[in-house]
Amino acid sequence: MSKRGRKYELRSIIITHYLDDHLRSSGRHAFMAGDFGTGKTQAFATIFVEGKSDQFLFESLLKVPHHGSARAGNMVLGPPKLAEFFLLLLPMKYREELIGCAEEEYWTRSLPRLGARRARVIFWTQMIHAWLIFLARPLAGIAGLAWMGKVVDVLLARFLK
Amino acid sequence: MTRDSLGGFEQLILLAILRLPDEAYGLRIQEEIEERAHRTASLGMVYTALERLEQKKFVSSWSGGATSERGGRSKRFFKVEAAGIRALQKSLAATKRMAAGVEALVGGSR
Repeated sequence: MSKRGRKYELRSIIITHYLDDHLRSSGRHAFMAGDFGTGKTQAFATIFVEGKSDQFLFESLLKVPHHGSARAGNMVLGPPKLAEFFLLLLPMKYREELIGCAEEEYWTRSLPRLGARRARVIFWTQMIHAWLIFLARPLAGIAGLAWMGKVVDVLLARFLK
Repeated sequence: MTRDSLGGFEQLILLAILRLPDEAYGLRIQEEIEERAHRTASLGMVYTALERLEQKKFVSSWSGGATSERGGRSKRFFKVEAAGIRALQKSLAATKRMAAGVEALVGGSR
């Protein structure tokens, strides 16, 4: 088979970042299987993480290397950095703990159950929701002032007629 | 609402902390509320309510260990204080008094 038309089967992968520690500590082994043709720039791959009694499934978009090597390299499975940055800007006493919980939710709940893409959406949603809750009171105050302004306008208009 | 009164969500938070002795931190509290009360709660909602309850001295907190799946960030555990228990008792008693006589309508006789 010519090198260009050859298909590559990925038999193993090293998952970097926090998940690696998580897997090692829980005694689980991760492996990935998938067929990739050369010439493609990206493909969906499925990663199985086998445990003693359960099996998690991860889906992620991988870049397929053009040079013919079947190594996937570092996978970006982590939570979105920009959303994390916005969470860091939250003027809350326990924002560090909130980010920790959002990350824990990402790694232990969203990613295994829903896959990387939806897990990232959930992380973004948590960030937006946290900011909306923080802004709710000042916004309600502004809305209240605007409403009072309208009431004053109506009263003045009546009295000045 | 007076300073010592509890909102509906605050009531759920206090009950969730009581149900989770020694492991009541943000994410677990959120899970407990979603599982038992079938109510969607974001982490922002949970932590905002926890900060408010701590200001009212209804709960106290301490920092726990950091874990890798939290990006090296520590957990903050919460415990309900005596003032919190009293506020919860008052709030639940008020709900019970209000529901008395109309259980059949609101399905309280389960």
